[in-house]
Amino acid sequence: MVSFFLAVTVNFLLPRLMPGSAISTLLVELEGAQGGFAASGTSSLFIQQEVKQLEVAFGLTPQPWPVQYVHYIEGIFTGNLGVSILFYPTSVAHVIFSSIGWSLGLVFVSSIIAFFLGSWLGAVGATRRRGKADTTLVIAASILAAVPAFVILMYLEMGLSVNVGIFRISFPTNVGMTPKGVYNLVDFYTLPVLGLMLSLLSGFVLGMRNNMLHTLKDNYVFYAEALGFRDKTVRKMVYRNSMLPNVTGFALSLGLAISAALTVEGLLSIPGAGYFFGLALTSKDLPLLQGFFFVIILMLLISIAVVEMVYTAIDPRVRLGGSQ
Amino acid sequence: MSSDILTKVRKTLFANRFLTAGIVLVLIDLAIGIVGRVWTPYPPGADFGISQPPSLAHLLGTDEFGHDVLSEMMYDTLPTLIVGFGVGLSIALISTVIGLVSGYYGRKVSGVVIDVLTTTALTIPGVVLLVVIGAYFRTASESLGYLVIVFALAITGWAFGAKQIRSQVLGLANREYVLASKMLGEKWYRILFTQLLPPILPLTVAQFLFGTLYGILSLVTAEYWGVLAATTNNLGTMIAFIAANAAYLSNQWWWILGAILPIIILGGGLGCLNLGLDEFIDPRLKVVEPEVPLKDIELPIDQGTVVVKAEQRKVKTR
Repeated sequence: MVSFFLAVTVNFLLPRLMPGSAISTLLVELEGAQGGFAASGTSSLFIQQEVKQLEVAFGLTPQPWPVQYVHYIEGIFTGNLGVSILFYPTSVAHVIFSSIGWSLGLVFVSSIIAFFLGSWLGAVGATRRRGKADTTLVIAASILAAVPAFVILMYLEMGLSVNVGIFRISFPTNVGMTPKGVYNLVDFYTLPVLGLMLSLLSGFVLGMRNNMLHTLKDNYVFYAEALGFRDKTVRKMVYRNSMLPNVTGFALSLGLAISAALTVEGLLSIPGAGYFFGLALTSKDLPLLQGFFFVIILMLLISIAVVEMVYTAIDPRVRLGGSQ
Repeated sequence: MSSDILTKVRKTLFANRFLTAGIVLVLIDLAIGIVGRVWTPYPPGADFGISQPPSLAHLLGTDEFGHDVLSEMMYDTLPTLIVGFGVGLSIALISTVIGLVSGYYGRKVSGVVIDVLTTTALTIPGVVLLVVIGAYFRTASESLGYLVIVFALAITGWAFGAKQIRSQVLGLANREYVLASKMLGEKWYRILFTQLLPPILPLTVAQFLFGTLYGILSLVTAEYWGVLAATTNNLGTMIAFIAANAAYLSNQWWWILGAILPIIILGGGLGCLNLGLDEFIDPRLKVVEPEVPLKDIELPIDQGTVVVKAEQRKVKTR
């Protein structure tokens, strides 16, 4: 709860420290669109007045920060996050909730595949340490960790969409629960999911491998082996005990869904939360940015809470204060 | 005397082929970066025909602006690497200290404070902090540019690792040997350094490796959304141009390759380091060759002998 307020406050302050006003940015864009609008001598004064008026309309500048802050906290609890500047007159809440499903779906599917595949590959690597499979795995995973998901996606789209034409490259217009709509979605989403999965995978592979290597040398493993447990049984025990960091990784990757989807959705113009977050960021749409911060904080705090619960289920030793 | 130390250093650095390969790859990358700042095949801004595939004159082709991709790549590598290593080092340090302390103290007051800090840091979007801090410091001093980026990414990036390390320390802190030394009245810092730190060192190294990659990744993301100054020259800006011109739609694979080749080399190098550092971090992982060669054993039984071959007695390695 404390960290919730702290984070919410920091996120209240951050966008306000950002240079440049959203409305002037917007006006500059409009200006460019209308062409030569700014050329006349009186226009700069006119624009300044316009900015002031609009800022009053959006409730941005005239009030001192503490007043704004009270409004902000009030808005969080009443679900009233204000009106987006970029998509005026759509409300921030509407922009976020109509788009977040796409990002959550994309990241959830990618990270669940990455979690299971990565944990398994990591375990395989750890049991065959320094073998050919292990070496290839670690180096490939490290390279994938460094290359951004959207660059991996660029190559995937280039190979499979542009050249071979298996998957569609732009977000389908006809989506929904009809067979055709679902087919369209699968057709489009295969590559983004694959690309994001590959870039998430490395964390799970390396985390599992490194952790399991050391657990494998623990005394209880030798003990279990000496007792004559089968290799498979022993490996299962070690696997379970090495999983903790990966569980954290999984929950956090869900909590960070919007940030993770940022570039992938930006590249392909998927109308998801990541895409709109990016737009809000570049156009300094303050109310929208703040709304996104709030949702990101909420999702992260929930996922962290879930992690703590899962920990106690998987590893009873972690139970805090259990020893007293 | 000094040659002794040198030999020792050399022996440690080149203890196994993975470590050697890792160091060599990272050094190659650094060399590309440093050379690129002094010499490139063509001046980075020189104009040639646009979008030419690789040829002998242009090993990595030219981009849509008619610039030589190889020259651009070499020129842009060093800042990218500096940001990466800076972020990696800071994250490894911060996350280890905080993970250790908060894990050890569990639910006590200081632990709660650190918990709150961790959670807060985790929720601040790094890219946004980058913009804010960047904008403030750029006016103060242009030359601080990349330092600011490292600072912003370190502040927002340590929490993930700290949480991982903390979860590991939580498991360790309740183990018998730690409880035993607590009861024997061992000082808290001795317990932290001698009993809790060694087993989590592998995670620290992992934080460095991941932090470096995270630094580069965030830099690219930030550049992609254009939140940093457009005047900077790094692989991120290069990739941003690639995305903006949708080079993947027109099959310009060489342009994309040029932008990520140094990142791939670095990733490969860090992967090798990861493999090679295993046994330094945890000496139990050292593959021990038996000093005396194993011989076949002959066991006499009632009728004849049973021979246990030497290769069957090999020490099991995992």
